[in-house]
Amino acid sequence: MAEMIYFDNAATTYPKPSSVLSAMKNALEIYGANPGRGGHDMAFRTAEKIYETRVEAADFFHLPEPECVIFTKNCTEALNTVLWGIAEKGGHFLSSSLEHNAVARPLAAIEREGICTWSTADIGATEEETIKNFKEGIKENTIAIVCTAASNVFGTRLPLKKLSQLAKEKDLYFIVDAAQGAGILNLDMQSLGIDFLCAAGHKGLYGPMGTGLLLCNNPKLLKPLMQGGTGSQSMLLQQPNIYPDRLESGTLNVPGIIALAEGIRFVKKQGVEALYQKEMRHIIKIYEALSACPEIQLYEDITNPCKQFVPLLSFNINDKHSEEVGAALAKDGIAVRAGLHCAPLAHNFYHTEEQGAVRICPSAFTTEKDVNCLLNSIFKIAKSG
Amino acid sequence: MKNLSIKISSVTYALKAKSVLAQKGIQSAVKKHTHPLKNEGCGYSLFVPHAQEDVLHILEEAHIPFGETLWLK
Repeated sequence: MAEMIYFDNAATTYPKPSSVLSAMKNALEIYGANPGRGGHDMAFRTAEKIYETRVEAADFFHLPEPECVIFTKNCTEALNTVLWGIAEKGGHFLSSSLEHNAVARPLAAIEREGICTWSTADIGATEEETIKNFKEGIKENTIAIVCTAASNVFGTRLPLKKLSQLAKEKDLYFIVDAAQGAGILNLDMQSLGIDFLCAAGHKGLYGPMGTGLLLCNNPKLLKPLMQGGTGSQSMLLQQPNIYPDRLESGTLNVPGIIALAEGIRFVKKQGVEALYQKEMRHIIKIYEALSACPEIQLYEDITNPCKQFVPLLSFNINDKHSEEVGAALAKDGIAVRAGLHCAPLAHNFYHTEEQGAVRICPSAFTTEKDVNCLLNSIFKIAKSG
Repeated sequence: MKNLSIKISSVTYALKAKSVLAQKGIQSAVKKHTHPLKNEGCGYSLFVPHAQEDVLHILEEAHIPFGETLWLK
């Protein structure tokens, strides 16, 4: 099989650091017991490794209490846990117009069930305009501002600090979907004033698929999405009222969680800022090359100093459907993501709902050679008519 | 000095307690409850050998919820 060039890192990063692979193997061989259940040595050793990951994650996101790190199977589960967990009859959620379905679908479901209403605030041409739109969207019964750290389609970053200040002024929860931000942006929950942060373990944190995080930085005790065994207070027929037990029912993804700690350590070692700069250099090179090609449509000027972006971008070629372009790139051995990226709100906002878009996202492992191969292939497809 | 056994319901808090005490230079070990009360169910104990009186205060300051404490000979 020819070597694949991977630019689908916004879906999941590939490859993973070798330390993550070793940790998975070691976990299955050495930490094979169920943590927080048995009283034998391997159960304790496994529980200690799980606790180590909580400490790593808490430290990475500047969350003071490791027990407030909740392991989920992905970012979607983390978002569902917090959204359903705070929804109260008669409330209102305000989100951005760029949200992924991981936010949009639970909010739509909460609305359909008559629990809360939901509306969106448009992203403006400047941060000030965005904040103005959010201010105007707040109602008397609004309970939370929910927003993505960065669009998973167009890379547009939201002004988290200013939105958090707005949320605090209005006594609202501030919830961040950090699926595309974790590992590439400095998401300090304390300085940014984030109450609940949801992250995928398998994207910018370089952990395995099947890992996600919910970090709770607010005393509000969330209603659990799921009930079951926690290895604690077992005589009670209700969930414990302490974290993480309250929100972690059933056996954890031990190999995934142990390996996630190695992924976080990898990011720490590389440095979040260094990774951001490296990947932005790739994306700016791609952006500048594609900008010069009249057949190619881009949707954001990532060099615009009034806006901020994460290192990913989406494009189209003339009126070709994005899936057709994605398939042509795949034939050249280049992996990208075409279509709607589970983000119809963002595609509606950028008027790409018919064509979709082709998304490119580098990672820590992307090379200049990869970028050149990608550009050559895109230009070949663009010129082929 | 006596040994101290502290009941802690969650393994996460038990490990946090162990870590908090270790930062103060106090050694401890997490163990499974061997004699849970009828309504307690599963749970853990933190065993602190040669414990000083201030151990419980350290845990309280770290907001670690704990249950019954037992000073052992």
